[in-house]
Amino acid sequence: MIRLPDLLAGSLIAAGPGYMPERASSVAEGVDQVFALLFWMSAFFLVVIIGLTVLFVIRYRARASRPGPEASPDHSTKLEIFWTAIPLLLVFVIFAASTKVYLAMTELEPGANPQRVQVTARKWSWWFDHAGGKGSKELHVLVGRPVELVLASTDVVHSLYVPQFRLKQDAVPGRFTRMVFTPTVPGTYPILCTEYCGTNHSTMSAVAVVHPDQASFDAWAAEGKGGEESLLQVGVRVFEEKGCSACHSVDGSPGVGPSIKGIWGKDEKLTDGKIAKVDENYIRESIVTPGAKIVAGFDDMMPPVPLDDREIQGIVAYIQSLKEGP
Amino acid sequence: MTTAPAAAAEHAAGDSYLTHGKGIASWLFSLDHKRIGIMYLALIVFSLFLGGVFAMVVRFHLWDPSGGLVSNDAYNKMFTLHGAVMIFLFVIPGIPSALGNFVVPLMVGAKDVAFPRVNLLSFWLFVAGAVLFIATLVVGGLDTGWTLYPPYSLESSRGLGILLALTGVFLAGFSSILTGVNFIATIHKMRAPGQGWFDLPLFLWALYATGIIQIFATPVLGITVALGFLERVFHLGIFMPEYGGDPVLFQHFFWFYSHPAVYIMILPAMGIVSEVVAVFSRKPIFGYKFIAMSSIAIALIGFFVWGHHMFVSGQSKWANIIFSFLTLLVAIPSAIKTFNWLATLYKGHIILKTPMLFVLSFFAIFGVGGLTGLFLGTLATDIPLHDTYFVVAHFHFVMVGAVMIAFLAGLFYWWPKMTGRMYDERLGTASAILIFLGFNVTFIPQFLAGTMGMPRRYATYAEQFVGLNRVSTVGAVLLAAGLGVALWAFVASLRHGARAPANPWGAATLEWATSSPPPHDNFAVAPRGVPPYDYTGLTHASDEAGWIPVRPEGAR
Amino acid sequence: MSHLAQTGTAGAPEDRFLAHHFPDMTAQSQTSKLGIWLFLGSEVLFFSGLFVAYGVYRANHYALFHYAHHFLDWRMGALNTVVLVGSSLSAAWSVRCAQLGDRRGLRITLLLTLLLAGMFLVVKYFEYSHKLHNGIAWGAACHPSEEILSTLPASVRALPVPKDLGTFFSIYYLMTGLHGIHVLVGMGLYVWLIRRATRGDFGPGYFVPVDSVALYWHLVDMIWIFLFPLLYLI
Repeated sequence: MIRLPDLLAGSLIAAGPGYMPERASSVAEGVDQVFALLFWMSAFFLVVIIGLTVLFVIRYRARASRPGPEASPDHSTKLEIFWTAIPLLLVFVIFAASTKVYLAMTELEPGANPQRVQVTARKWSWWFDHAGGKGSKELHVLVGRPVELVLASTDVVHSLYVPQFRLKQDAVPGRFTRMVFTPTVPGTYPILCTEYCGTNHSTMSAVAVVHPDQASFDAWAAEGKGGEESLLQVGVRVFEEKGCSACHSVDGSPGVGPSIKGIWGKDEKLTDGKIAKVDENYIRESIVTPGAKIVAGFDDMMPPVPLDDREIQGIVAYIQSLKEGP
Repeated sequence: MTTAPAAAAEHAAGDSYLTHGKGIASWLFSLDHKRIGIMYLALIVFSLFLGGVFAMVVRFHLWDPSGGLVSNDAYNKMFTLHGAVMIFLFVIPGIPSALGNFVVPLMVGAKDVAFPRVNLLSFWLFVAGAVLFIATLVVGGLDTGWTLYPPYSLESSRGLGILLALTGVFLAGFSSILTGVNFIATIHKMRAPGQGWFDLPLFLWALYATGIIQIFATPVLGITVALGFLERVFHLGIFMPEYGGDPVLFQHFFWFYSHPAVYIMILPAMGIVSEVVAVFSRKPIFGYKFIAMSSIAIALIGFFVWGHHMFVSGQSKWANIIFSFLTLLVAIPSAIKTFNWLATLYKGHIILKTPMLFVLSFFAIFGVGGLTGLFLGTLATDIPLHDTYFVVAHFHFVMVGAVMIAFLAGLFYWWPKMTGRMYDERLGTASAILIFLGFNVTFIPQFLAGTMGMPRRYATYAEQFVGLNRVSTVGAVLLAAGLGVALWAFVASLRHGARAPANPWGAATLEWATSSPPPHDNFAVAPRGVPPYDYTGLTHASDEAGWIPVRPEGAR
Repeated sequence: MSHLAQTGTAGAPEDRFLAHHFPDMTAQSQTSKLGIWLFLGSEVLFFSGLFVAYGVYRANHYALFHYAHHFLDWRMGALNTVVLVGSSLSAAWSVRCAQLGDRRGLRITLLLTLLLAGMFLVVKYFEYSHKLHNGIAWGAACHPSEEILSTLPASVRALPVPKDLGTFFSIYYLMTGLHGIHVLVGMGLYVWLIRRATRGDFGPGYFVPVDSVALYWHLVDMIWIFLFPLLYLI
C-alpha cells in the first residue's frame, strides 16, 4: 500500500537531492526524508534572500531618476514578530522530524535479536569479529537481520561510516560505542574512516557485505573456519589463564565474586544502591577498575586485571554466551 | 592633478596618527589603538597569505584522486597548518583585533581603548603566538588537524611541534581575552556624552557580544591546551586513555570554546554588514534593536551548543537531542538579522561601491552557510554528513565566505579612514566579483561531494569525486586571483590613491566625524553622540570633499 | 621619597595618574574596576575547566577519589585555609586604609598580605616535597612508599593500592599547582603595591591598583576555599 506522504516525500527527494548514495539500510529513507525537508526549506529561503536582494538592488539602485531613498519605516514590530515566529515554528518542525528518525537510528525494534559484531579499529584497518566466532577484515551481515556493532579502538579515535547506510559512529579508545541498523538491500558497500587518524586515514577502508539469504551467509561463515581463535575462545582461555574462575563461577553459584552466568543485559544492584546495566562498558570497567562499581552483597577486593582490548572483547563474548540457560 | 593633494597632504601630515612619532619603535611600542590596529592588520593579512598558500597546496594535491603533489604525511600537515593558521591567526582575530581596534574608540568618540597598555600586551602575545606557529612549521610541522584531538595529537612519538602549537594557541587565546576585556570596558565606560546604548553603531553591539564570548569561552580553551601540554610532557592521565584519561573530555572542552569561537568570527562580520548596508542604502538600518539583541542572543545560545560537534562520539542520545535543539535555535537570531538587512535595502538609495558589493555577496553566501548549518544541527542528517566534505563546505561558507568577505567589506569601507587614501573603485569591484565567483566555484562542489559520501581530511579519494574536486581547485585559483586583485587595489591606493575626505561614504557614525586619517588623539573636538544611522544631516559636496553636514540657518 | 608623600596631599595629587584618554579620575577608576571584574570572570572560567575535570573523574573513579584523599593531610589544608582567609582580610583592610589615606596602615596590611601568601606557599612546599619524597607523583609515576602507606587509617590500609592512584594526584597537582601559580603572581603584585605605597602613590583619590589586586586576591582565596574540601575532605 502506498501512503500519500511517502509518495510525496519520495518524489521530493528524487526532484531535489537525487545525487545521494543508494539507500541500503532501514534508517536511510527516514534520513533522506529529513534531508529533503531541509533541502526544500533551505531552497525556499535562499530564493527569498537572493531574490529580494537582486530585486531591491535593481529596483532601488541609485540613479539619476532617483535622487534619494524613499520614505519607509525603520522598524516594524509586527514584521519582527513575523520573522521570528516563522523560523521558530520551523525549528520545531525540523526538530520533531529529526528526533523521530534519530531515535530509530539508535534503537532496534524492541525484541529484535540482532547479530552482534565486535568491531576493532586500529591504524589503519578494521577488524570484525562476527557472532558465529568468525573474524574477518570484512563486515558480513544478512539482509533483513538487525545488526548491532560494538566498536572499540586500540589506538586513536576512528569513525566507521557507510554512506549507503547513512550511519556513522566513532570508535574511541578506552571504551565501547555501539551502532545499530538493519540492512535492507543485498550488496557490497564501502566502509570508510571519517575521524582523522594519521598517515593512511584516507585508505583505512573495508567493505560491508550484505548477504541476500541465510544460506549465503552460512556458506561464508563456514569457509575457512577454525583457523584463528574466535573471540569466544579468547574469552574462555583468558578466564582460565587469569584466574577469574577462582572467584567467579560460570554456573550461577555465588562465589567470592558474582557469577558471570546470565548477567548479560541485566540490571545489577550496587552497594551504593545504584543500578548498573551489564554491557560492554560495564564489563570493561569491572575488569580495569574493579572498585568503581561493586555489586550489592560482595566486597571490593578484586585487583585490577590489565587485559588488552581483544581480551576484554573475549570476556564480553564469553559472558554473552552464558546468557541463555535453564 | 597631483599637486593639489600633495599640498593638502603636507598640511594634513602635521597631525595624523601616521606621522605622530617616527621610527620603528614608535610603532612597535605604540599605545595608540590605531597603530596597534594597523600592526594587527599587517600580521593578519600575512597570516591570510600563509594560510592561503597551504590551501593552494591542498587543492592542487587533490587534483588527482591518488594525491598528485605531496605524500600523505605532507598533505596532512598542509591541511592542519591551513586550518590552524587560518582559524587562530586570521579568522578569529581578523575583524575584532585589526578593524575593531582601529574603529572602536573612534565610534564612541574616545581617545583610545580603555586599557592601552593591555592592548599592546595583547598584540605582543598575539605576535608570540604567531611566531610559535611559524616555529611549528620549522620543526617539521604538525599533522594533528587543527582540532588537536587526543590520543592522536598527544601520542608519545610526537615531537616538539605539538608543544609549540599548543603554546601558540594558549598565547593567541590570552591575547583574544584581553582584547575582549578592552572592548567591553571601552563600550561600557567610554561612550561619548549623549551616546546611549541604543545610539551605538551595530558593529559595537556585535563586538560587545563577541567580547562576552572571548572573555568567558577562551579561558576554557586556555586550560584545555595547557592540560594537553602537561599531558604530553608528564603523562597525567587526563586525556590519554593509555594513562587512564578520557579523550572525549578533551572534545567537550575543546568545543566548549571552539563552537562559540565560530560566533567570535561571525558576529563582528555581521556587525560590519549592518554598518555598510545602512550607509550604502542611505537609510536607517531596519530593526536596530532586533539586530543588536540578536547578536547578544547568538552569543548566549552559542555557549550551549558545543555538543553538536560530538553527535557521533558516543555521547548519550539524550545529550545529542538536547544539543540538537539548542543548535537549531541559533537559526532564529540569524534569520532575524538577515531579514532586517534585506528590509534595509527596501526603498533605499543603493550605491554599489565595493564595500556594498561584498556585503551583497555576503547575503547570498551567509544564506547558504547558515541554512546548511541546519543540516548539521539536525541529528538525523548530521549522522551521515558529519566529517564529510559537506561540513568542510559549510564552515568555509561561514568562515571564508561570510567572515572573510565581511572583513574585506570592512577593510574597503574603513581603508580611507585608516590610510587617508581612496582605492580604485574598478579594482575593488573586480575583486568583489572575482572573489564571489571563485568562492562559489570552490565550495559548492564540496557540498555535493560530502552528500555523496566523501570524508574530509582525505589525502586520496575515490575516483567518483574527481570531477567535483577539479572544479573546486579551479575555483580556488579564481578566489586567489580575486584576493590578489584586492591586494593590488590596496597597494595601488597607497601609492596613487586620491586623498580621502573625512567622510567619503556619507556615514553618520562618529569615526567619520574626524579627519582621514585621524589625528593622534582621534578628535580635534570631543564629539557628542549622534543617531548612528540618520543620514538626513549630510550632503554630498564633491568627490574630493566627500559628505559634509547640512547646517540650515538657525539650526542648533 | 617620604617628604614627597607629605607634599603630595596638597591640590589633586592623584591627577598625575590620570591617563590621557579619560576625562577624570572617576571615569578611570570605574573603567579599571569593570576591566578587573571581566578579567576575574575569565579566570573563573579558566579554573572551571579543572573543576569539571575533577567532577568527571570523581564520578568515574568514585572509590579511587575516596581512597586517595586519605593521603592528604587535612590539618595542613586547614592551616593554609586559615592563612589565606587571613590574607584576604588584610587585603580588604589595605583597601580601607588606602581609602582613608592611612599610609602606615596601608603599608602594614600590604606587607601582611604578602607574608601570609608566602606562608601559604611554604606550607604547600612542605606538602609537595613530603608527597614527592614518598613516591606520590602524578599519573603513572605515582608509587606510594610503604612509609606513607603505614600512616593511613587501618581501614584504608587494608585495601589494595589502586592502579590508577596517580589520576587523583594528577588532578591534585594540576589544581593546586595552577592555584599556586596564581598565589605567586599575587605576591608579585603585592611587592609592586608595597613599592608604590612606600612611594606614597595611594590615597583617597587614587587607590584603584590596591582595590583591583585585592579583588584578584579574593578570587584566589575563593578558589582555595573550594579546593580544600574537594581535595582534602571528601
